[in-house]
Amino acid sequence: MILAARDITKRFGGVAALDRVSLGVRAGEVLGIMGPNGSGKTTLFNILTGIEPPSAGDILLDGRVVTGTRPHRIARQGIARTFQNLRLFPGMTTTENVLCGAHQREDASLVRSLLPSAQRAASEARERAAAEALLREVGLGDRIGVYAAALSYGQTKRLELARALNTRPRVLLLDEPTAGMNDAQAAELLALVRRLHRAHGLTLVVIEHNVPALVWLADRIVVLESGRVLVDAAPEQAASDPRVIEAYLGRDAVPA
Amino acid sequence: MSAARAAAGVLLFAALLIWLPQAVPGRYWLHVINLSLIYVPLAIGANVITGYCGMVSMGQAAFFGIGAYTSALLTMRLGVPWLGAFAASGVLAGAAGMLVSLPCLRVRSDFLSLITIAFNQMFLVITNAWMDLTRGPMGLPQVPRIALFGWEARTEADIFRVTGVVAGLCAWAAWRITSGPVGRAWEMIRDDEVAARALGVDVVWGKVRAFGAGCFMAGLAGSLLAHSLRLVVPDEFVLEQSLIIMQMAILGGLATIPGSVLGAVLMIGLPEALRSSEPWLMTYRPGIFGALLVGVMIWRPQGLLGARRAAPPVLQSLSDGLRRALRLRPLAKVP
Repeated sequence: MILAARDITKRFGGVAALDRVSLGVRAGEVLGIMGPNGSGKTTLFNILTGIEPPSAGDILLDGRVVTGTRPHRIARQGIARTFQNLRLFPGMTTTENVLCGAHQREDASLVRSLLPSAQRAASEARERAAAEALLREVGLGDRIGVYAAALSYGQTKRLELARALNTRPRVLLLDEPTAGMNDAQAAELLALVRRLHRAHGLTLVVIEHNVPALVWLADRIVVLESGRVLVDAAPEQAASDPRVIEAYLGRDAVPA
Repeated sequence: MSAARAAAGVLLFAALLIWLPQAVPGRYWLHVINLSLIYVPLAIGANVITGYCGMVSMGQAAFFGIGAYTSALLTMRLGVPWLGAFAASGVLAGAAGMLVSLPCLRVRSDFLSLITIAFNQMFLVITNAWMDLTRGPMGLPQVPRIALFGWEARTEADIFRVTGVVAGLCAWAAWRITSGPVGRAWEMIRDDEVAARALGVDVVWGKVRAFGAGCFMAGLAGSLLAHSLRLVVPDEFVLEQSLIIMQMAILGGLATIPGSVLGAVLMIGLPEALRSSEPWLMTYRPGIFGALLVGVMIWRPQGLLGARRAAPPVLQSLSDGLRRALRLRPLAKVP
């Protein structure tokens, strides 16, 4: 397991958003996460990336406990994510947004940024070229240098993906990458995610509501319900599990 | 930037430094230019903190004052050469800025600005009350002139060469830093702290560093003020000064360095230049600049020279609110 949660509990007041959740993702795997609204999926992501501390339990990265590590340190250890409700920098261009992903690799010394350095200029040019290549890869080749605020909704989703990819993550967490899209757009985006997974040898954790799409994309699916792991199984098996159908559709929908 | 262009820029700047004092008619005008130039590092420093990193410091005058008192006291009491005192005022003001910004570990940026107001007031109380050190409201008279390796800045033209070099260096340094990875990290913090963290940015360190850099520049300006006016009094560092400094950065344009230079010249140079011919202007200065700022907020929320980027969200919503209140048409979106 590259990244794992061990008995994670998260309480908000008296409500347990997560209740002893354990799961993990193996290198190169696509782990799908599904569950009804309010089942704790995004909370799990926030805890895995250190944005929120768990009430109990541990986060393990390469088997080492990293619980309580500040979020930017977790990011620097190779955990990247996208956000359900997009967190782009609208006042920056597409290229600059992607360049933000390169922050961890750049020399951010105040004093050294004053000194002229050929090496620095070269690395900046290299990063810019890499950022533009990534933009082309996610299908934004014709939007290079445009302000992020001027992009369509579908394009902003792709831009956020490119920015997260530019951190060269070991594990990439995607929080509902197709939220708010129509079926055709969603299918296109998930096809892109699968292409990127193969091309970059990524390890992915994907929250997704569209069950057939997730079955197609994922190697394994974890279903959360009311903050608990309901099922952790192969995609088809998870999707057809009666407990899962019940959680989504109610008891009457389960075939006898 | 290529080496040839850099060299051309330095030569042009040097030529300006030599030529301008001869071209300006009379000492008074040169004095006005000097005063404006002293405020350039202040405006740039405020812009680093607010325009790039998204915090609002309402206490820049206190850091300005720390620089002025440090420089004056070091040269007068300990006989430190000016250059050493100048550097020390930057370092001390910068360190004080970092300390004041440390509460950002725990509080949101809007509360941090209240802390800076309190700091400014505390600074005034201390400088007014600590008679042994600062002579209180009487101030420190006869501060020695700016002196460098045996050369002394005796005339306004001499002072101009120093203030010009310092303002130029500050603008250049700020431009270098803000157009590189450090500046990008600051802008990430300003626009979305959660996203910045998720991309590996140490938000607290970034904020503390922005405060340190901005206050460092304010300290340098303080030293220039002390040794060119040759008098340091607490009255120079009142809260209103802090507001004026912040106004320079906003008027010129947040997150643009040339904008801060323009802001300093407009807010200090223009009223000073018209002080003798139009004395009423000084009386009405706060009102005039207040009205000017409201106008800028309505029609150009990104500031006079802030054309490249859209206005920061806070100013944009302020602008939208003003337009709604005044029933003006909504502004066409900046790209």
